Amino acid sequence: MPNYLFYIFAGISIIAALMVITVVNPVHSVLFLVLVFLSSAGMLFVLQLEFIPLTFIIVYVGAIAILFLFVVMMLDIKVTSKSNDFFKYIPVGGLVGSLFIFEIFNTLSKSFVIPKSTMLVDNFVSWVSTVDKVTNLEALGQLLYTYYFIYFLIAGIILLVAMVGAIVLTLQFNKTVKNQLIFRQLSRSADSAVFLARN
Amino acid sequence: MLYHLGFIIVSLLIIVIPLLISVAYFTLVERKFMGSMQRRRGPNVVGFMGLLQPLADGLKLFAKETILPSNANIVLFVLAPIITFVLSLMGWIVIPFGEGAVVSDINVGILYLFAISSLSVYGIITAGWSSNSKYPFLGALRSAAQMVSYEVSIGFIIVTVVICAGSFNLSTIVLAQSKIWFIIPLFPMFIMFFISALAETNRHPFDLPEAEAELVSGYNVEYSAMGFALFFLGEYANMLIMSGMTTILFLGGWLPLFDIMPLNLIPGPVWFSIKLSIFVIAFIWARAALPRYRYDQLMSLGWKAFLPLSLGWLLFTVACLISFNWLPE
Repeated sequence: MPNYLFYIFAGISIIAALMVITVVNPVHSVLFLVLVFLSSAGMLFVLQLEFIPLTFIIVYVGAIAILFLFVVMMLDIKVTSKSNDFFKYIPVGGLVGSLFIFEIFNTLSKSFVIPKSTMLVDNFVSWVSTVDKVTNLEALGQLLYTYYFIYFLIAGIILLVAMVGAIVLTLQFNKTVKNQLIFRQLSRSADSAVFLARN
Repeated sequence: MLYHLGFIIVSLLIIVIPLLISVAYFTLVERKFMGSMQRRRGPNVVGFMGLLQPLADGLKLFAKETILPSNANIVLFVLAPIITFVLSLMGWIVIPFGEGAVVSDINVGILYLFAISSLSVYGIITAGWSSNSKYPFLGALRSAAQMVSYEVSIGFIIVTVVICAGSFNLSTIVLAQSKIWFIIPLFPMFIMFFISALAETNRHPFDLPEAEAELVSGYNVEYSAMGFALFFLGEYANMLIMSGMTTILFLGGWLPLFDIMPLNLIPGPVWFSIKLSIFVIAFIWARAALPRYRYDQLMSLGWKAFLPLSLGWLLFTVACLISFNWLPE
């Protein structure tokens, strides 16, 4: 049963990924991108990982893709003709794509061992986990906060730098714009606001 | 296999049918309660004291004509209310109504609820865009920005509670409150969570997305009949689920007020419902009593008040737990 679900999710994600680049309307293609995210999260759920796909949904679908959709919806949508562009981009795109596929397969075959009999059917029993039950979340936490804490901190610092950079790029010190200060408004009293005008 | 499938279908029906009935009566309570706050009667014609009013409303919406605007993007226009409604139902499978009374007791239940509530922006934003009209579009943009902003502080509040309970499982979070409910040590977080829940469900005083005076009715202007009914049901089911989340996180879920003789005879689901109804009433009370926020005030409240305060309180809680050696497990 879970195997069929895995293949269904994988099929949906491949079809949706193809639709992302072939659909004409950019809003539709962002929504298909969301479908890719969701179905790949479903694939991870079937493989009994719970934490990673949920954070994936919260961060990518709940925040990043929303902002994406925001920007695309604001744009003036133009229906571009695809026929000429396709052959113009095919050398560069094909090169990058084939390099990417080669790299992925190279890394996967070196770093993961696939069970001999069938893929995706785990026919070995992990006896350690039957005695000492550690959930997905606990295992991740135990690794992340002990052996790999330095990478965790570095990731945090990189995010902080990116945030500061975004603020610096968008913040404009403009003297002419008058801001409303709620504290100043609330602390205004009759004594400081009402006075007699004398010549 | 067939038995398993039948079990799933029956358990989903056990969740969904009472949920729809409670949403229907939520609307009746809202109208009656607001009526009594504004010194009028509220609905009192259909049925005994107006008790059949929600069914009559539902029948009316069901029998009306569905209008599809000619310039709308039809597929997304039809899909948007369905997304909203289905997402509002999906959250309920992890809510524990009593000890063991839960459809799926997954170990990351609270994250699942958070993910579902962050997905529900999509129904609104696709509705606004596909209507191809300016009021729904403005309403949807406002709504999406508002929901994304308040999710940040909700996330920090959830993390605080999770650190105090030591688990992402909702049943474990409730059982961690058997000594003391989290509303007492984390009272400011409770207040902030409830206000963020008001903003997250687009309710008064943060109902900028459907500001009647400016935007007619926000993202659902172009919807009629069942499309509108699905948005309506989804919105109220979301309010109920946010009330349920507040109950589980801060008010000890199904646990009785004190674990003494007459109180602990009352079954857990009854306690859960009583606590949930308190927040339902508070939602209606906020609607009847408070004026609407201005949009920049809403954003400054979310980003400049709630985000720093929830982050600071998270650090404070962690510091307390570590220094007194109170961390769970």
